[in-house]
Amino acid sequence: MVVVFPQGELCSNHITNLHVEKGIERIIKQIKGPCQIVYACTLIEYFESLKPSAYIHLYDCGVAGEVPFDELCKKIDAFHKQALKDQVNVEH
Amino acid sequence: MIYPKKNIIFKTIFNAYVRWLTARHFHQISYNDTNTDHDKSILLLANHFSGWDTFVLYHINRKLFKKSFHAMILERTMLKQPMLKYAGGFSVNKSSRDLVLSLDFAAQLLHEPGNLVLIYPQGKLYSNMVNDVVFEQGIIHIVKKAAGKFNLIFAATFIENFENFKPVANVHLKTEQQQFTDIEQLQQAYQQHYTKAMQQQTQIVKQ
Repeated sequence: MVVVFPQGELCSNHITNLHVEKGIERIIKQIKGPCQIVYACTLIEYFESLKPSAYIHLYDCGVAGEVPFDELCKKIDAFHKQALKDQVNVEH
Repeated sequence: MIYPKKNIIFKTIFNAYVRWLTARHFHQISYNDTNTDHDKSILLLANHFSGWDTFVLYHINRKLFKKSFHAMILERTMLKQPMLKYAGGFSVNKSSRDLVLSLDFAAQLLHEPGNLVLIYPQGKLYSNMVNDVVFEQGIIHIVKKAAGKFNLIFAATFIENFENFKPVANVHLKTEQQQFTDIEQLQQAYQQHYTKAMQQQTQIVKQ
């Protein structure tokens, strides 16, 4: 498993638009065997506790090469926005 | 209703405890200065998303406002943590007739210029990711009843880690000059501040 942070820099946990840098496209093109791509949106919250809880929203982006890169970026961004909406209603 | 109690020994211990707790758990608590009329009390309206909110704002009061701290806290929390009454906590129970007593008590506190009253107008804990802040009705009762006696300050807090293992709390403060008689207008004014604060928060980028 390879973990990549596609934003390329540390961004606020509150950003609503998720930008995927071009380097990911290069990596995907180089993948020869079957490889599932998963986007993980991690949101850290405290609610009534003093210790944080990490809520991880996972999105199956499909197999590498199946989805054109621009479409993949759009899908990740849309999922990120939905994760933020879902987070508001998360049980705590 | 549970009223706050003054105890100089406990207050000294609590001050030291908050100083230790915030220093231990936070990389930084940052906030902006905001102008206030020192001859008036402070009504501090804040978003509520964590068990840290009151500690962080207590810390800021000690550093910046230097008023006698009071906070409206849910009755069930006050019953679980009875020591909170020595730190300026007073109870509110939304489903009881005591609700009016709590609101009147908050307004009464605001008539004394040395006081600060912290209220979470959302009435309960929400995610720190919410875009829209919805106020409960009770806050306007306090605002009307103590009109002209207090500085109205909005606080929007966001907690993040960035490159640190310990979190950073960014508290965006704003003194609101407008007088409010309507809950919708008050909520809209807070929402405007909250949205701007969130935009500032999202512009923070670390390489």
